[in-house]
Amino acid sequence: MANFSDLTGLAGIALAAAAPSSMALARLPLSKRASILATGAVVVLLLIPFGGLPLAGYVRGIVGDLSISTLVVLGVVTGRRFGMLSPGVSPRRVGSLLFLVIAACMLYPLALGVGACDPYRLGYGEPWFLGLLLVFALGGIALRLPLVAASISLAVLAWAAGWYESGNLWDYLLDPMLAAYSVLALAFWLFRWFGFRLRAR
Amino acid sequence: MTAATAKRAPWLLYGLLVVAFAAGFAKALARPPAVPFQRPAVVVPANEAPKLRTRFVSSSAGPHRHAASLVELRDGRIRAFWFSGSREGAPDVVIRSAVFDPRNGRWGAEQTVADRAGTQGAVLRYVKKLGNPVAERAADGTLHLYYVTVSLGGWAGSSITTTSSSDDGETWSPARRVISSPFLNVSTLVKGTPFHYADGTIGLPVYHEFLGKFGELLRLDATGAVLDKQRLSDGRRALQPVVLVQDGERARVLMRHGDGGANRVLRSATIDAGRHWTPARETLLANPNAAVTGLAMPDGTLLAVLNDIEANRDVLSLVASNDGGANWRTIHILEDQQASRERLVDPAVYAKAVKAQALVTDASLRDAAPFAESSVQHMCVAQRCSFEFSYPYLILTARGDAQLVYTWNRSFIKHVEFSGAWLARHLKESTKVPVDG
Repeated sequence: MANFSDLTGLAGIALAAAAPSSMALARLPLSKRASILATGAVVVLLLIPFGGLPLAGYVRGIVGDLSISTLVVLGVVTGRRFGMLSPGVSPRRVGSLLFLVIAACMLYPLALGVGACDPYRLGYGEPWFLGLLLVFALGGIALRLPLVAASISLAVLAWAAGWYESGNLWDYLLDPMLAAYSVLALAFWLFRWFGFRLRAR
Repeated sequence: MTAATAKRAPWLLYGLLVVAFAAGFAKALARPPAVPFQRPAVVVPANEAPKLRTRFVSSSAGPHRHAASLVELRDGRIRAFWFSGSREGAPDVVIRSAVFDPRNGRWGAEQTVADRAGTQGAVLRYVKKLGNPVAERAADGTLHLYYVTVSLGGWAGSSITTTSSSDDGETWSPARRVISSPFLNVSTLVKGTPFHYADGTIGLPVYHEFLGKFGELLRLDATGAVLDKQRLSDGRRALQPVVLVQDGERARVLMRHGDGGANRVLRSATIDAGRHWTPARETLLANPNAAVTGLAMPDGTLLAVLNDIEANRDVLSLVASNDGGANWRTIHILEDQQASRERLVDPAVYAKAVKAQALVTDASLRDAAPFAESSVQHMCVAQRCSFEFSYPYLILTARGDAQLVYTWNRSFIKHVEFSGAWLARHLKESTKVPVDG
């Protein structure tokens, strides 16, 4: 019988597919109800075993379990697509992206061996690291970045509950896919911002 | 989102934050504290004759065999693990195991412990290939096996998978993935001997070889969950650490030199049970980018087995240090085929030499042909053959014997048994040859 954390990992991959599916289906002449059903079918399809392993398992073998933050972002995208969330709730706020890019730049190069310090170690339950995250979450509320506060809180809660296989809090906060998206989205925003400023002159 | 929900949202967020961080701090504060290392108890029988015995763990021809490891079972038998397949990294590679009974001096039948498809089905992830296995026995007798699995790319994309057995390895639990790296969980590999901390948690030496090459140490609980992870070195040159636990607070680490340069074994040390490790630096022990193994004897003497040459893997020696690793001396040369390097241009000549060596290893062999056949298959390329004695793995049993296994021509696993009395005699008699500073 599969472990609980394997099921949550697979479910995370399958649910993540809902966002691109909903965006692709939006281009088709489908009703909202039909789009929701078709998106649900994609999620279920990813969980059906082929050759002894669900399709989501092949993806999971490569990318691992998706962070809670990624699921929150994709959930917001899907929720907006289906009109369940107001357009004001957007994951593309520059503050959120900047926060993610800084976290990714701090974590990945050092964890892969640049320098002697490994920030990944902090994720095994270092109390001051949790304290720092609490400050960031409160900062997210103060700066009107509710997605930052919600993502951090949900990640901490999932880590405390042992939601995934990983016992490291970083794996709940961030993953390479979210990091790559954040870097690209921030670069795109900066490109547009500078373009706008130049045109304004 | 309705207007009422939007109005409640900030309070929902505050509530979520309070609950999440209360649970988070509760978990963080429940984390096991740092504790001393634990040395296994060793009781050496009195009046034992000095013995050094050699044999092969398996004798069938064909597969590529590599990266053997050992663990002592509850009843004093020894279980070995290694990987076996058509070639290193092939999808058909499986983890094999066999048990040695010191009472009759024989290895039992081999069995497959893990394969690619079974592992993939258990961890619910795509798995491309399997690699190095190591095992340890917990205080309650449970065996934990850790083996390398790759889902993405080559060995640098490895992660660790674990399984456990409560019947000394006859049956195994479904495999579980060990998550130990933030970047797609890539590049954590095992090779060094696991050890224990005083609270029963497990120290698992691992290494990273994607972009950087450095040694690391995982602390695991009985379920295989990672409690802590720390660096044993940094940079791009250290691989395959082995931790030689001297007492509750002191340990030495020896590491394979995994890059160009001086080709010397690297070392690090702790005097506070691993809270801090000294920066890795080169010893004067030669190392041709090959695995090293070692252990600390109850009297503090350090033993290591390594290819103590700068290139090739055709020499393998047992060395010892009485001063915590500052100076080493050769105790016994296990293999030395340097002289034959230039002569091995003819596979027929090579096969004859391999047969002779196999019979020297185990005089009771009825047919040495499989040894020649497999060695020619795996070690001869374009009419050029070579010897390889590599990936040694050394353990100390509860009776004070040292048990060693290593890869023999990528075709067989060779087993060398040093009795405690043999070690005591040779450690005393050996000529001091200082080779390190």
